[in-house]
Amino acid sequence: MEMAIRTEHLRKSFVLGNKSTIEVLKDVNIEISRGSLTILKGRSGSGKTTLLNMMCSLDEPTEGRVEFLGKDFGGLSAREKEKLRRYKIGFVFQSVALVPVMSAYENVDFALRLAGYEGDRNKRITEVMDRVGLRARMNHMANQLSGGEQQRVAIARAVAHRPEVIFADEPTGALDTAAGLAVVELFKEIAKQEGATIVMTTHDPNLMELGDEVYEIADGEIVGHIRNH
Amino acid sequence: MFQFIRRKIKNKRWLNLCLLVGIVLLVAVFACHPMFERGAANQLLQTAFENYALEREEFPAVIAREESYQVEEYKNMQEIYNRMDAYENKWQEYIEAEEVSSNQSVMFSGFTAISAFQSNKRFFTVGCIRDMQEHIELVDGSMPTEAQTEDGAFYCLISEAVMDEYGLVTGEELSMTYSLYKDEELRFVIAGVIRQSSYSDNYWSEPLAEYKKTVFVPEETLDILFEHSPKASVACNQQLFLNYTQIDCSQAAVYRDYLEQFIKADGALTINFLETLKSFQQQQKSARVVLFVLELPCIVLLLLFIYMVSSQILALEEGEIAVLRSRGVTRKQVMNLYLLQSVLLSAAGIFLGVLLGYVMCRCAAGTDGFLKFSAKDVSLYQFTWKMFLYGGIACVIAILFMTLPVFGRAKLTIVEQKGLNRYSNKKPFWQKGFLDVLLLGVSVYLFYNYNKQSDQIALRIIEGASIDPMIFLNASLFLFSCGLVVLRLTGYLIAAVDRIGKKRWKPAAYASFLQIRRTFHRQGFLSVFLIMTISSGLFDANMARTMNENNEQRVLYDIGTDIRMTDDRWWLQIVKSQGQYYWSYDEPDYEPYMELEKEGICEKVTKVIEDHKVDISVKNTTLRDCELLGIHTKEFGETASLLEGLNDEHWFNALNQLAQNADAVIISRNLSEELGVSVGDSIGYTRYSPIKSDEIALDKVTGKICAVVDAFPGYNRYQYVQDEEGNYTVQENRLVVANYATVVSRCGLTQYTLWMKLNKGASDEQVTEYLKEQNIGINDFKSAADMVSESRSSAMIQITNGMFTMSFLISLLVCSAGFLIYWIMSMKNRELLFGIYRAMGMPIRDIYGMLLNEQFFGSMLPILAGGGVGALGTILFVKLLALVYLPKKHNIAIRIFIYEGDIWKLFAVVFAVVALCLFVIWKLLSKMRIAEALKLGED
Repeated sequence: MEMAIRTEHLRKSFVLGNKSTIEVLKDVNIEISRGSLTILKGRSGSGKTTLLNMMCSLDEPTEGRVEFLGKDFGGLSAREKEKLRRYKIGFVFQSVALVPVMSAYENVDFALRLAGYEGDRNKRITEVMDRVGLRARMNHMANQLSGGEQQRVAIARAVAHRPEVIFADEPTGALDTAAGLAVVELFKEIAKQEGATIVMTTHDPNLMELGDEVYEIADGEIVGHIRNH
Repeated sequence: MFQFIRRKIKNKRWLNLCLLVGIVLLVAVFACHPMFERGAANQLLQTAFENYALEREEFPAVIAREESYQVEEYKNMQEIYNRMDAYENKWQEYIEAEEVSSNQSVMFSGFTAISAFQSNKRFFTVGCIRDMQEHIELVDGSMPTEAQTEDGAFYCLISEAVMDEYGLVTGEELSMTYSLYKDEELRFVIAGVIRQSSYSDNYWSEPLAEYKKTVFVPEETLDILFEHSPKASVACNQQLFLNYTQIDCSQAAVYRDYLEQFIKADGALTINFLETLKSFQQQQKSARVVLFVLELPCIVLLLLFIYMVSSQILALEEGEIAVLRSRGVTRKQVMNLYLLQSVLLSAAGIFLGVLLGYVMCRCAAGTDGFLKFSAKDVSLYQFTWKMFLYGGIACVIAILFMTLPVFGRAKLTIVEQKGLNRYSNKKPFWQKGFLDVLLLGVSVYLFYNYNKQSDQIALRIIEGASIDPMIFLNASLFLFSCGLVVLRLTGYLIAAVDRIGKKRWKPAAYASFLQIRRTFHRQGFLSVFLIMTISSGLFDANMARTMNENNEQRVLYDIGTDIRMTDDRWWLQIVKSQGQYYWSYDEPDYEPYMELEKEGICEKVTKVIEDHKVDISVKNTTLRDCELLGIHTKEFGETASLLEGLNDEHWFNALNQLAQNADAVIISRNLSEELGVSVGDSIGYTRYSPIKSDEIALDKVTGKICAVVDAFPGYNRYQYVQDEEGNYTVQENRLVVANYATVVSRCGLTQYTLWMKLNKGASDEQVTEYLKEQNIGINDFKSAADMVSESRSSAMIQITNGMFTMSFLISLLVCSAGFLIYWIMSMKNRELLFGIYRAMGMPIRDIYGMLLNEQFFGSMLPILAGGGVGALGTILFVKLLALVYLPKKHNIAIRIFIYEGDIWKLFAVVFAVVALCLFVIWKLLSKMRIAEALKLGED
C-alpha cells in the first residue's frame, strides 16, 4: 500500500529552564498509508500532539526524518512546507479554532481561497456544509453555533479544498462522548468520500475502534500498534 | 482578596500601568486646576493694579480720607491725630495687606502773610505733614529744633516751589494774620528751604511742589496754634498706601465688600482700588470660564482613555469573571473586587497626580507661547491643599469610569458569556439613532448663531461680561460630533471597498476586511479616540498660534516700530504780551540720538510729530480730534514697520508720493469716505496751541491728498469709548500724515516723539542705558519687545497657552499609549488565530499585509480623518474663539495661523507610534512559533 507519511527515528527534545533536557519523542517510526484513518492514542503529555505537529510540518524534529507524500520535510524550504500545508493538508484543531470574525460560510470560503481553489467556491461551500448538515446555519457566526456544530464547520473547512491528508488534533476534546463519536464518524465518512488520509490524536478510548490503525504513545515512544480490519 | 487583586494587577501589569498613567494624568489635570486658577487670578489682579499705576501714574492701592475738624470739639491736636490713627488702624484691621507708606497732613488754612521785604499780601496755609523730616532734604537753612525763636516767632520751612513763586529766602520773617483773629499777628521765620528727598517715594503722592501756599511747621507749633485758635478748623488729609502684592485673589470679594461698606459709612473716604477689584472680579469670571472650558476636552480625553484601558482589561478578564460568577460569586462581590482594585490604583495615583499637577501647573504658567517654555517668574503659582481635594474628585470619577464597564459584564455566567456575539454588525446606539449627525447639526447651528452675533459678543467681552462657555464647548462638540460622522463615513467606505473587491480578494485581504468590518464598532472607541486626539491636538495648536500671532501682530502694529519715546528736556516757554500769550518750545539737543545710530544700537531714529487733537476740514465740514503725524518720509520709512497686505499698495508708495510734494498729505480711508475726498483733492488741517488751557487754533494748513491708506504704522482705526453708563462704543480714528517740515513751518515747532528701530541684537536696555549716561530723561517710553512680552503675560493668554500646551502634550501621550495598548492587545488576543492562519499555510508576509491593511483602515484612516476634522474645526471656529481674546476691532483683522511645525510634530509622534506598533507586531509575529501558538489557543 502506498505510504502517505513515514517517520524514521524521530526524536524531539526541549531544553528546560534549568538547562536539563526533556525528551518528548524518542525514536518514533511509524508509517501511515494513504486513505487510512490513523489514530494516535495517548495520555495528555505523551507526545502525540508533538508527533502530529511534526508530521504536518508545524514543528521540526531534533533528529530523524518525516517523509510526507514521498517528500522529505528536511529537504523542503519553509515556503515549500507552507505550500504543502496550504494545498495538501487540512486541519482540525482541538480548540475548534474557527476564525471568530467569520461566519461558518466565510470560514470555509477562507480555506478555499487560501488553497487557491479554482472551482465554484459557493457550490463547494454549500456542498461541504450540506455534508456536515449545517447548510441551514452556514451564515451564523462561529460563536452562535454549539461546540459540536463548530467542530463540524471545522471539518467542512478542513476537507473543502480536497486535501490529501487531514490532521486532527483531539477533534473531540471539547465535546461530550456522544457528540464526539458523531463528529468522528462524520469525519471518517466525509474523508472516505473525498479520498483523504486522516491522522488524528485522541485520548478517548471510545474512538479507537473507528481507526484503521491505532498507535499508542506513552512517554514519547510507540508502545502499541493495532490494525483494525 | 488583596492577594487576588495583587495577582490580577501583576498579570496585566502593562495595562494596569497604563491605567495608572491615565489616573495620574487625570488627577494631575484636576489638581492643577485650583493652583492654576489661583495663580492666574493673582496674576490678573497684580496686572490690574500695575495697569492702574501705569495708566494713572499713581500708586494703585490707596485709601485716602479728607476731613475738617473743628478745633473747639477737641482737647488738643493729639486727639485729632489719634482719631486719624484710629481710622488707619480700622482699615488695616479689615484689609490685611501691609502698609507700604502713609502720610497725614494737618493744615490750618486762612492765614494772610506779609513778608518783611514785600508788601504784597499772600494767603497761606500753615501745617505739617507728619514724619515729613524723613522724606525731605534741606536745600538751604536748617531744620528747626524748636517751635519758636526766643522772641516768640515760629520757625517754619518752605518748599523750593514756594521760594520761587514768592521770592522768599531763608531767615525772612512773615507776619501773618489769621482770618478768624484779624487783630492778632503771628510771626514766622523761614528756617530752611526743603525739597522731597526722592521722587519715587509714595509718601509724596502729592508732590511737595504742589504745596504752593503752605509753610510747614513742627508738630509742636500746631499744638500752640490749636490752643490759640479755638474757632478754627483743621483740614486733615490722610493716605494709606497698601502693599497690593499681598492682596490675594481669594480676598478680592471680601475686601470689595468691606471697602464698599467703608465708603457707605464714611463720605470723606476715597479708595482708588475699588474699581480695580470690581473689574478684576469680572475678569476673574471670564478667566475661570476659559480655564474650565480649556481643561474640559483634556479631561474628557483622559476619561475616554481610562474607560478604554479598563474595558481592554475587562475584555481579557471577562472569562475569569464569568467563571467566578458560575462558581457562585455574586455580582456585588465581583463589583466590589473591581471597585477595590480601582480604589487601590487611584490611591496610588493621587499622590503622583498631585505632584505631577504641581509640576504641570508650574510648566504651564511658565509658557511664553504655545509649546514654548520659558524660565519666567511663576511664584504666583503656589501649591494649595485644594489640589488634593480636586485630585480626590478626579479619583472618584476615575473609579466610576473603571468600575462602570464591570457592571454589565459581572452579570454574565460562563454560558452567557460564551454565547455573546461580539462580531455581529450591530451598530452602536449613536449610529442607529443618528446621534452623531444630530450633534453635528446642533454644533453647526450654534456656530452659525455665534458667528452672526460675533460683533455683539465682542462688545460684551469688552464691556467686561464673562465669556459664554458654550462658544468654546461648541468647538469641542463640533470636533467630537464631526469625528463620529467621519467614523460613520469611514465605516461606509470600508464596507464599499470590501463589497467591490470581496469576490476577488486574496485570502489575506479577505480575512483582514472581515476583521476590520466585524470589529469596526468595537474598535470604534479607539477610532473616536484617535480622531478626537488628533483633531483637538491640531485645533489647540492652531488656536494657540492664531491667538498669539494676532495678538503680537496687533501689538507690533500699534507701536509701529521698536521704540517710541519723548525726551523730557523739552521746555515750553510762554510769554504774555499785550494780553496775548506767546509760546515757543526749546528743542533739546538731538545729537545723542544720532549717536545712538553711530553706536550701532539703533538702525534708525526719526522725529515724528504726533497730535491727536487736530481738526480736519473740507469746505464746511470739519471733523475734530483727528490724528496728525508729521514725518520725515525717508527716515520714517526706514524706521517704522507695517505688516504687508494691509493696504492695496505697499505703504512706501504713499511715502514716496508724500515726499514729492511738501504740501501733500496721506489720509486714512475712513477720512476719505467721510469727507468724500480722494487723491488729488485738498483738505485743511488745524492744530491747536500747546497751552493746555487755550483753545486757540493755529494756522490752518491746506494739503493735497497724495494717497489714501487703510493702515499706517501706529495708526489704529478703531477706538473704544466708554459712556457714562459704562457702555462701550466703537469710534473711528482718522489720520492725516504730512511732511514734518511743513507741519513745523506752518504750526511752529512742537514736541515730537522719537521713533527708533533697533539694530539686530540690540535691546531696549541699551537705549535707556545710553540715554541715562547722557543724562537724558525719558517720557512715555514704549517698547515693542516689552509690549509683546506684557501681552503674552496677560492672565488670559497665559491660561490659554498653558492649557493648550498641556492638552496638546497630554493628547500626544494618551494617544500614543492608547494606540499601542489597543494594537498590542489586539495582537496578543489573536495569537491563536495567527497560529491557525500560519498552520493552514498562510505565508507570514500575507499576515503582515493583513495587519497593514488593518492598520490603514483601523488607524491611518482615523488619523487622517482626525487631521481633516482638526483642519475643518480650525477654519470654522478659530476666528470666532480668537475674538474672545482679541475682541477689539483692529486694522489687522483676525487671521488664522497654522504652523507647519506643529502639524509635523503631531504627525511625527503619531507616525512614530504607528511605526513602533508595527515593529512590536513584527517582533511578536516573527517570534511566533505556530505549534506554540496553537498550544496557547488550546490552553
